[in-house]
Amino acid sequence: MKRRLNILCLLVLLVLSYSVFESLYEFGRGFSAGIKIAMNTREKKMENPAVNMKMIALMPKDFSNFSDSVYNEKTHSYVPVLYSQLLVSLKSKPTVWSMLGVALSSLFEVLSIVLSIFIFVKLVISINKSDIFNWKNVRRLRWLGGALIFSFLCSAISVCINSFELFSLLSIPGYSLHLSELLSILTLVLGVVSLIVGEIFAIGLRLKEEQDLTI
Amino acid sequence: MKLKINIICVLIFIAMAMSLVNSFAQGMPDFLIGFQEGSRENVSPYMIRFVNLSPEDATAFKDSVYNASDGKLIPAQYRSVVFHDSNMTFSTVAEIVSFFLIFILLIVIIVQLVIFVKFVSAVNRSIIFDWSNVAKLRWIGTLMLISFAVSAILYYLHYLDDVTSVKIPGYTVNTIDVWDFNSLILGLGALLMGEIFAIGLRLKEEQDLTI
Repeated sequence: MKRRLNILCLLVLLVLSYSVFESLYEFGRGFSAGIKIAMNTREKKMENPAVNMKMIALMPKDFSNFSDSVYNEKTHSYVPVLYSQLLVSLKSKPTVWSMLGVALSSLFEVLSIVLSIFIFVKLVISINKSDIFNWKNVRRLRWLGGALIFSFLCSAISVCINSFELFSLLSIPGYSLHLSELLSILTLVLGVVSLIVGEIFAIGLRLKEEQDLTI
Repeated sequence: MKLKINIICVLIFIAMAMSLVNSFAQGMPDFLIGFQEGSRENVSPYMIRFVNLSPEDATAFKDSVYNASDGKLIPAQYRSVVFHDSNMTFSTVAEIVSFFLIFILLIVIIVQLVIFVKFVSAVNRSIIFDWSNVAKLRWIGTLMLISFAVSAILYYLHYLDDVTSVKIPGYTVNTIDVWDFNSLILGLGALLMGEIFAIGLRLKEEQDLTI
């Protein structure tokens, strides 16, 4: 009876693991690049631009004006382009508060993601025990939704702090900074969906309780 | 009793409407510019490419952009650029296929929305744990998986075309845009919910038979 359910849970976990694997791969690349930069900096006693790197998203003020260009080896010519996302090296002097804010929001983001995976696994185990429509699962779904929305808010806070810092330091002619593009809304959507499912479960349970009272 | 669920659904629709209005507001000036460009004579045709790039060496900042705040050039790496390509290498067959895929994607999204609205209205009518809702959830899930597959094919076609016609020194074209994990995870989630509903319903039917 629960074969399909378990296959689907496995698929969800596989997709999540793939995305975690991809993040870990990127993290590994970043980590090895960091070590390389540190070695170079020590040897050459000069600062590598990657130390102050920041990801930015740009929105052109005029879409018909391709004011920049890059060299295309395929056509051996310079091609007009508009920048959309860049990794820039920009020296900034962040305040203690902004550093603390980014560190805390990143920490809470990771913790809430771990919590939501833990709640999801508990939910699947209880469903496998045929313990489906009860108030415990409604609470689990609400907690799951809350944790996912909280993780989205944490990532939004760190993007906001970084944006606030960048707006005063960076201005690229012909573009405006559009940092909301760097924010992924997947956790927000998943959080809202699990809140909806929690409410549907609660409505069903209340209806069942009313029926039981009538009998 | 259904106040909370209705508030959440209204919030979802407001967010969707805002995103549509935002896209429309951003797209309208571009449409007008394109229209003006198109109606002008002697304008050679060109296509726009959104290309995602990965640096061959993550520590190398070989390019630069001008920072008007302090009047200096700052080291930069390109991650995503919009190409103005006058070579138009995208073949007619690929164009027809991608037009067809976009059309399918549009229909799939509209059907998803209609089924979601039907699901919410059924819940509002107190029809909750019912086989019709299981079918609706399974449809929503399947359609989301279809939209994942269709968008993956569509973006992969563009990726293949980008790889053949674009090579920026120090960078490789990547496939980040090809995989839309949002619709994959949401689709699997909807199918999962459908299965949970189905298990609950089967249990209820067994209980009813026992009584």
